[in-house]
Amino acid sequence: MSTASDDQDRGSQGPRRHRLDDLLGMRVWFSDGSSGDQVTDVRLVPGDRVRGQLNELVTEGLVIGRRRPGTLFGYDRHPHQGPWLVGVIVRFLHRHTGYVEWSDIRHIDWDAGRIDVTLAALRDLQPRGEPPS
Amino acid sequence: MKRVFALALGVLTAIGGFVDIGDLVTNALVGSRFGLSLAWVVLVGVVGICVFAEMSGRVVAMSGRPTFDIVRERLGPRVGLLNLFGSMAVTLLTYIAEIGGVALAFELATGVWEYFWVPFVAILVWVVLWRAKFDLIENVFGVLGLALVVFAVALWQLSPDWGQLWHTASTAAKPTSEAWPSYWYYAIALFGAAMTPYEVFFFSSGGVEESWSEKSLPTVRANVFVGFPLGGLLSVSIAAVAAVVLLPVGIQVDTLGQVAMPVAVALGKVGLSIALLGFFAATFGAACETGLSLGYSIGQYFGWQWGKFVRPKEAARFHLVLLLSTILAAAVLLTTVDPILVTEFSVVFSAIALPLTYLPILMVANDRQFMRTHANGRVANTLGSIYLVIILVASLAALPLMVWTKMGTT
Amino acid sequence: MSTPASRRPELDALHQLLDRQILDNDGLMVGKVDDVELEEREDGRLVVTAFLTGPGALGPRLAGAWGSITVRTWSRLSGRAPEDCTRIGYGAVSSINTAIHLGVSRSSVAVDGFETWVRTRLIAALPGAGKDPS
Repeated sequence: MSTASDDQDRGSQGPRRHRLDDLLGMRVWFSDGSSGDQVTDVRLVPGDRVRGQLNELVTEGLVIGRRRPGTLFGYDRHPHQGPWLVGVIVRFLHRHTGYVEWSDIRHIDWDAGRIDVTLAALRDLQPRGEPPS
Repeated sequence: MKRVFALALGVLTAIGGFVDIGDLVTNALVGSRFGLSLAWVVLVGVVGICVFAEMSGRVVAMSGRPTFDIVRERLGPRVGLLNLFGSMAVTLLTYIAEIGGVALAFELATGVWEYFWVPFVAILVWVVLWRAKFDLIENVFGVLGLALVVFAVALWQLSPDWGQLWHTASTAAKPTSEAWPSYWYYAIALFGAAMTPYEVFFFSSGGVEESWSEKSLPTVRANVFVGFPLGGLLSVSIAAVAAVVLLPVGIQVDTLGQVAMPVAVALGKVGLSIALLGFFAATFGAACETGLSLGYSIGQYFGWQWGKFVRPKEAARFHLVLLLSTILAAAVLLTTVDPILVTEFSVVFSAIALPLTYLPILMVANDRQFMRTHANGRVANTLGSIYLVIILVASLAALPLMVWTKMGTT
Repeated sequence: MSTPASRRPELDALHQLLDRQILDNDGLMVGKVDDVELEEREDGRLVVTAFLTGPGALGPRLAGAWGSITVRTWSRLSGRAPEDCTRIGYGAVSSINTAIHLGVSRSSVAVDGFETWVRTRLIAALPGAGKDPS
């Protein structure tokens, strides 16, 4: 068991470590200098390497949107999820949500909470693939 | 044969376990003032609890995750924490009311002053929660609660004007002596008494205690769809005997003794004794459920080990919460606050707190990753959405009505 | 361009990892995923290296007075500094679905001081604390 008390713990030669919570809420800045919305979720995919018993999880992209109470509901990713009334309300609240692929990221400034991307506008959010079960 | 027995036991437990101090007091009170003109609310409440309990039972059977686990996961830790404080406050209020109810039942049976019984009852409840097995608690008090059928027997014995009773119930004919704000205030109170949040915490956590799986779904549904409506009928019979005996002479129920009075009138001492047994079983069983629910909610928010399915040593914080809540409940009661008053507050605040836990369950019941092939169909979603609106309206209207009618006294 | 998104199994970290229950290989409760540790890879992407649980991990996510009181109480009762949390390496995980299932036993990954304190000081003293529920 070890404790992690510093969220940007750098081992003597080790890679930089961060926390998911630091990534969430970071603001996106586009190529034309304008600022966009915040990171509301991080999309992960299984990588090629195995870590322990499972394939490692690697970042694939960021879901960008406005901070809203319904952030966790996932209705924007599953168009047919019911109930209908709740889905309509949540989709309306999240109509500005978009996506950024990891390859679109130019630089992440962890201290300032800022992500610079090469895009001029967000990509459309695609429904995610089947989760690993 | 064994399966039939287990199924029957589950249904009987659901019937007998449906009624708690909130239902006893609110139904009798409403019957003595409004007759059966609010019986439709019990119907709405019963259908509502069936919808809600079936969904949360299905969620825990398919995913293994009980209600409060899902609340934090869906609403996030911040809103989830507020939700935890709110839900625990209401559940604690209900716990206090239930323990008070047991003390009142003992007072009725022995004539000894109710507050004398409070420490004894608190210790007894805690010992049961500490030592007794989960299904023993559920089954014993559930089946003993069937003693409340004596209310239906008493109604029969009283040979009331059935036509007139049916007429008031079906046309919701409010007595002219009562004002509309009070009518709607008691509608919300009755709704809150039928759809108590702790019921669902307990029910879904019980699913983990008893290791429900997809195979358990038919049994869960039988318990809910047969047991709860029959329990609702018991509630209505409590209101009906009050309507028949107390309403004509203008006695308004404000003690537990008055709840039992119509049974004594109809069936004498024997009936009264059975009613008292029913009171004890209903309130003691509900006290165990609410106490456990306090431990369940806090454990499920923080991720701490909870449950009766492990040794107490393995769930130390869970048992600490149970112990502290019981001491606190006893301390509050010993300030000689009237348990009936606490009960009235608890049912109204239950109605206020209901949306907090209902919404996350409704959403998770639609999540295909959680539910696999058993996600909500159109019926469940339609009913679920209708009830979401009803619950929100009741929640928003409760406090204003409570203040306006001064808790139903005007 | 990589495989089309619809063909690759994806996981949304907030939606499917954060705030999920962590269970050990006996089904016992370890804690919640209060935060996730990410490490920078050579190609700039981040890899999930551990799940973090405890007041130090939950604290930064709870804004407001109620949140900080809760977290500070929890950490004081655990006998640790408010920033401390327990780190469960990703290698210990055996499956991820409606909960995070570990392939190891609870005693080998996490020790919450609060639970230990309550167990040793209060609960173990009461008769029947070690009684098997069945």
